[in-house]
Amino acid sequence: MLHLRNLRVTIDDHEIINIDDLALQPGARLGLVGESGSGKTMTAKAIAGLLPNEAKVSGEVNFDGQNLLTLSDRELAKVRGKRIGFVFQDPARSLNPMMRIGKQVSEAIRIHTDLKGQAVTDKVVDLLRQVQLPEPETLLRRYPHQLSGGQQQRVMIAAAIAADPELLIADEPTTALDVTVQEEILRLLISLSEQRKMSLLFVSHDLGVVRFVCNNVAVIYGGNIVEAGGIDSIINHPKHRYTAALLAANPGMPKDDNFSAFIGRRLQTITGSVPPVGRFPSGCRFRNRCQHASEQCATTPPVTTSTPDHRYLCWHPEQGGQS
Amino acid sequence: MPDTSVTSTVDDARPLKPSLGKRLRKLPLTLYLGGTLVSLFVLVAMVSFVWTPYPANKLNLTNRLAPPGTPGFLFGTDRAGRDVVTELMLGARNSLYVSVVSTIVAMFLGALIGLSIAGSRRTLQGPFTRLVDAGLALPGILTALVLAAKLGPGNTTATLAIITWQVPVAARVTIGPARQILALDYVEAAYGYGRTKAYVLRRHVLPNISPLLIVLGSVMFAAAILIEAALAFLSVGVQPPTSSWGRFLNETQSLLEAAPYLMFFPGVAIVLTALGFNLLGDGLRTVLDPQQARTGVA
Repeated sequence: MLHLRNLRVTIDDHEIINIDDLALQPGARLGLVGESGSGKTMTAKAIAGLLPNEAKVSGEVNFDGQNLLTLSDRELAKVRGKRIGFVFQDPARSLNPMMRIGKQVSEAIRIHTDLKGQAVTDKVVDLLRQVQLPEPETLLRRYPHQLSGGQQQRVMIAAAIAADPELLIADEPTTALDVTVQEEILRLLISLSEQRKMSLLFVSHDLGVVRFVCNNVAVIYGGNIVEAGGIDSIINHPKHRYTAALLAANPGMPKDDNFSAFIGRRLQTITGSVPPVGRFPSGCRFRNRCQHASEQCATTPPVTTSTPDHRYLCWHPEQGGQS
Repeated sequence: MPDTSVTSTVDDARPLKPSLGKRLRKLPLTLYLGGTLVSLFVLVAMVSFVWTPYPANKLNLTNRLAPPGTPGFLFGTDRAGRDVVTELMLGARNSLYVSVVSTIVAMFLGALIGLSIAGSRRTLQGPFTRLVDAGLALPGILTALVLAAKLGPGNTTATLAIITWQVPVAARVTIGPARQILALDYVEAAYGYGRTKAYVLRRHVLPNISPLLIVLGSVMFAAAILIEAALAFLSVGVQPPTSSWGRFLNETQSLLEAAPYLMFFPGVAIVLTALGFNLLGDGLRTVLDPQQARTGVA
């Protein structure tokens, strides 16, 4: 249903995003994983045309047969909220402090449906109930600051799904929240996606969280999808050195909680940090931080190696299947 | 002690409010002082519609330049024997009329221009903002004189002059905060729901800069009163027989020897009113600006 082809985003002649091919099936949950500065949020914003004006976007964002990049602002506004919902990173900042909860949740309903008056209120109450908020009727009249972070994010989710979108883009929806609240929100996203047959594009820096939520994952580095495929295949058999390094840097996975094994273990890190825009090395963009880089990595950009359910962009892929 | 933990978590989120009396006492002194002066000014102007000690321009030729305290004339009379209290009341009326009209129009136009510029494409923002800056650089008195030459002196000229003077101010003050709001996450969230830029400017940006606009309006009011008086003083503003503080002040010039005290009446009236609006604006800013009201909130 969502298919990015040759999506390129440049700002001031610097290439920020270059995605050859990334697809999301109806009802599927795709995780987009990368460090800060890897381009994951830019990708999410590029899909809905939320990038600033100075960003030049080319290629194709195919959404149900329609290239969103060719739409005018006005046509795009009809897709946003109605067919693509958004949940942003920091709920406290994504809610207008001067607007009541009920009004903010009803935004998409009032824009995209013909419902009026009491029907809108009923729908909002129903939505707040769906995101498991207590006493939706009183909540309607509250202001964002009167809610906790977890409640605010539930409100954001309710607002995002208000017009029954087919695709929900969640940009690090739990980064600003406590770990305990995080899991509740993740479970809520999973159940909503399953009940509504709603696709989910889940942007995160945390492979553990992505494994918990998603069926598929795409790892992004320097604006390129360096590895993509089924979640288990990638977690258990990472091919790209970047993915492997990310996994090694993760202290533990929620699903194999052999906690004692991690105590006293020295965490592996990826040396250096993501270079600023325009400072990526030639050839493979990860090579200056990669322990396995060779002459070939510097001269020739890697080409995609594909197997069913798994593809990667690396000259020296991880061998075997350790995780 | 009743167990409150069973009540809903949402109710617990409600902040504790201090009593009304406590909150009133916490308001800044400037707000009370400014509020008092401004209310007095408005009250005097309003009362002048229904009652003045003497009819407008009633001449008491036998009682010219009566000193203050003369029976029947609390503040005395001017050169033509007009009652000073009456003159001041009618002057307040004209002052109020011109400043209300000009401030409202200038605020509206200024905010509209400021919001439009803040919402325009980034490449256009620079040039448009410089254009507003150029407007700011225009000397206001000069604009007023040009207008007076074209339209003739009068209240309309004064009002137009104040508007052209103040619109760039209002626009310039609006642009920055509006751009700040536009960069916030909830504005992006609004686009995410499918809102258009015009709606976002109207319903998200405008309410959030409204405290600023209220304070700005109060300060612009003070400026309008001063400009109105200045223009009347220069004979560019309202013409006889309508009373005006500025013109009154001008007339006392020639009486510096005969009745030097006379200039204090319109002078002090102008100063107190302008001071009142400035104090009010200052007090409102303290109350409305969350960064001043509460500290340590990012």
